[in-house]
Amino acid sequence: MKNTMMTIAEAAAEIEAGKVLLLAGSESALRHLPPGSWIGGTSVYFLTAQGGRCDEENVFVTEFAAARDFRIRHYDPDRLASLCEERFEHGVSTILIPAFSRAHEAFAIEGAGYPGLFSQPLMGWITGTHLDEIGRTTPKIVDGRSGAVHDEGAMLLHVALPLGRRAELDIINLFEPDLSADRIVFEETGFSAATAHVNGEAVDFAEYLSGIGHDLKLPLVADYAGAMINVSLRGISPERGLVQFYAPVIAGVEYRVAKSIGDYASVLGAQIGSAGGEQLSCNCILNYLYGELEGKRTGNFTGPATFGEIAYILLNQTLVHLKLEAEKAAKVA
Amino acid sequence: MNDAVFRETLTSSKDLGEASLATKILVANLRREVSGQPALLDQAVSSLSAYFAKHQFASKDLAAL
Repeated sequence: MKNTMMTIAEAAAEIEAGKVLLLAGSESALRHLPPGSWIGGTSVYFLTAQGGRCDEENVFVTEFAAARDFRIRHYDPDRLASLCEERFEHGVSTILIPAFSRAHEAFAIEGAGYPGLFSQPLMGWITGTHLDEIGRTTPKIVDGRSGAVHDEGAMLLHVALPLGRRAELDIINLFEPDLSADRIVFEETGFSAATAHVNGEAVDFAEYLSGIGHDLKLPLVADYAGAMINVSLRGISPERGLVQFYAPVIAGVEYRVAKSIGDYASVLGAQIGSAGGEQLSCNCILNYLYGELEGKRTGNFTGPATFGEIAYILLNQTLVHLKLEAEKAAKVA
Repeated sequence: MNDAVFRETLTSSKDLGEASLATKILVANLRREVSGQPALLDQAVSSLSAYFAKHQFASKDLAAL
């Protein structure tokens, strides 16, 4: 895959050349693009080869040069469970969902149970806005075939891959659970929680987090059979007796607060190393903010800084990356 | 791979090491279901067995179970 930050004119030329594209940019930029074989989502924060930056003029363009065929679909929130049905026999799918939408909530809570979800890589992100515009404008997704702009549902780009090529989807999570910290389990799945069981004892979760002086920048982390899955904290309100999250906590999953990681940019750079060049990737806006990544280079993984990342399921504070490789070179577990 | 291995996988908390992300998330979800409702173990074993039977990419993950 080719990943490039482009001017609107440059991106328009790629579209008019018939290329299959995944785009990220401001709503204004995306609305200026011609119809074609693309889907897009709003984002104005990017990690580029030159460093992190806020950019409302240009668009981030990923080309699926290996695509043998493609299908673009928009799914209403009520139809999300069928999003895997129109996949190709051998391929990969990308997905864009507007933040704060019904689809965002539905996918986050129910997505892991969608039929066929784990059959092929599903990679994408939750689209956002400029942080100053939250609440004033809605994040969008765009159907490039017609230019239709939606603030609800999900845009899917299903791509057929040539035989002998496969997609591999993985994550880079800088956080790991602090194993010396308390075990936290929730009774209900949701984007907020009033209570939790901490080491088996039911507690007011907002009071608990305030009591331990928890740093909002550190997510809750669960161990999914060796994959570390974060839930980021949106707010702690002891007065309202509520803790809000950027992804749902899942009932029955054991969480712990994350270990502090120190200097984010340095740690991320060290973990990434020299990888990333031609991979499709996105990274969390919280990492961008908390890591103060504006102007900082973080290796070769470039792409939008997003309001949630999708690698099969909704993730937080995680870098998601997708690469295409020859079947014989695929990782052997 | 026989069902006993899948059963062991779903009732343990074993780290699946270098298995794919898809397999790890799927196994974690099935483990949670089984933990909450042990009667679902046979159904979960069937789901996991079908996943590995259907998807060639996942066959490499069998070594991690």
